[in-house]
Amino acid sequence: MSELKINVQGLSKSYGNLLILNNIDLQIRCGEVVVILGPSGSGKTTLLRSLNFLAQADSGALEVCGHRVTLRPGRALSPDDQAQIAALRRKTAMVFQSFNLFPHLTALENVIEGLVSVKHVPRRVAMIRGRELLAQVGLADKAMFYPARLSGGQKQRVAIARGLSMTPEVILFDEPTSALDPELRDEVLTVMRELADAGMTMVIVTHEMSFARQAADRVIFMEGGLILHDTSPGEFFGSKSNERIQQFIRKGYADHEYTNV
Amino acid sequence: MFELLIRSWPLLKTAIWVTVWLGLGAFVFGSILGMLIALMRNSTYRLLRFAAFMYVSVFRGTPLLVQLLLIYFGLPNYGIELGPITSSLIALSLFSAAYLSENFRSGINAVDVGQWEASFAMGMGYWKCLQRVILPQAMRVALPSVGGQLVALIKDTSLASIITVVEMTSVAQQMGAATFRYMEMFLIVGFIYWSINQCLTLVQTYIEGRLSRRMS
Repeated sequence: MSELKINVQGLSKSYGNLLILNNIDLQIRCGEVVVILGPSGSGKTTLLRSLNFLAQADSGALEVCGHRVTLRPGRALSPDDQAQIAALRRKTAMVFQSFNLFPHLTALENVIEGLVSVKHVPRRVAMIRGRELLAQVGLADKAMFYPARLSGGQKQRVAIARGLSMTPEVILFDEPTSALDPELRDEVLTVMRELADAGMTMVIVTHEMSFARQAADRVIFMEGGLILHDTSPGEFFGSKSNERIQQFIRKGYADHEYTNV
Repeated sequence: MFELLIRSWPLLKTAIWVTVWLGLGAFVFGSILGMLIALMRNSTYRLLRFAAFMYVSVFRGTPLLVQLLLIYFGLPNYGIELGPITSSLIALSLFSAAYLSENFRSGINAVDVGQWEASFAMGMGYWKCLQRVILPQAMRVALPSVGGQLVALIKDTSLASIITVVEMTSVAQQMGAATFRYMEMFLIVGFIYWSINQCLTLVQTYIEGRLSRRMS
């Protein structure tokens, strides 16, 4: 069995009385493409964000890229935990629904920011790498553009290049196409599919049924803070899956105008 | 009026420098302290937040003149004797820090929380994120109100005349008393204040234009 990149054990989180994550267990191996599906409010985004501690769970244990943090209710993070978090953040990348590009920097500067200010790569070297990455996502000609002058799809591709610049072991995608018009989604999904084919470990929260079906190794279905199903896409989208999933899939296609897939 | 300007020029010349340097100096120190207070007010530590809140509350809630008099006439009671210029510089710095901290804070809070998240997700620490990502954006937002503070500060230096600093307002009073041409003398000095601030506003508008051109 190949190396575990993510190992989540007994992860729970609540906001007030509302239980968002209910004792979640999840293992993700190197090179796996895992798509997390589920209705809104199911806890899928919170689970994703708790993997790199943008959201901090209340209790449970997380091991991400070999860095382990154990959370206990009411106990603050120790300096060692903080160091583990800083280390695992350097080995993971995150792509956001709202892109979160740095508006005061050009596309190229966005891509190299992490290299320069986190990895202390000389600017000149980083620029060369940055141009390669922009070319990889098909935006070589947009290097000097500020984000305000890019389309949504282009922004998200710059954001993916920015994530790749840190040579991450895992990329976390938080609804990467949800803020995009349907005709702009494909250019982002194509880049993601290329990454999946290249063997990148990816965890993707999305509503893109067709992407899940074609590119995922595993589909996780969440509802009410629980992982209800963890299966292959074939099984998930197959006719033998249960009624709740069938209903979710039908609704998902209807919502996203992808009825003909 | 020209003849009066020429007569008072030797005194005015030095006084203009005192005014400008007092204003700019207090602006620099006030900005440093103000930034610190702004960050404290956004801190996760309650004690730091409270201390910063009290600072702003006290220094905005009391007259600058009282603060000035307290430092110059009050502190010697406790063995701390500061010259008039030093006292004015300290009072103006402390006072402007309270206002500037609010300007900085609203600038920082105007930056989308996603900018912090994107920076943290790529492994940046708090200070690095602040320096590279948040402040460049926050400053764009804060610039107009910060520029307003600088202009207000230049005008507030006139209060230093009360504690014997020979700046423009005090020169105007002296020359007025010597010639009984108060009206003209205060018009001259008023015009100089206005000119200084007009220059500063032009600089501010220029920087604003340069910064905003790229982002949109």
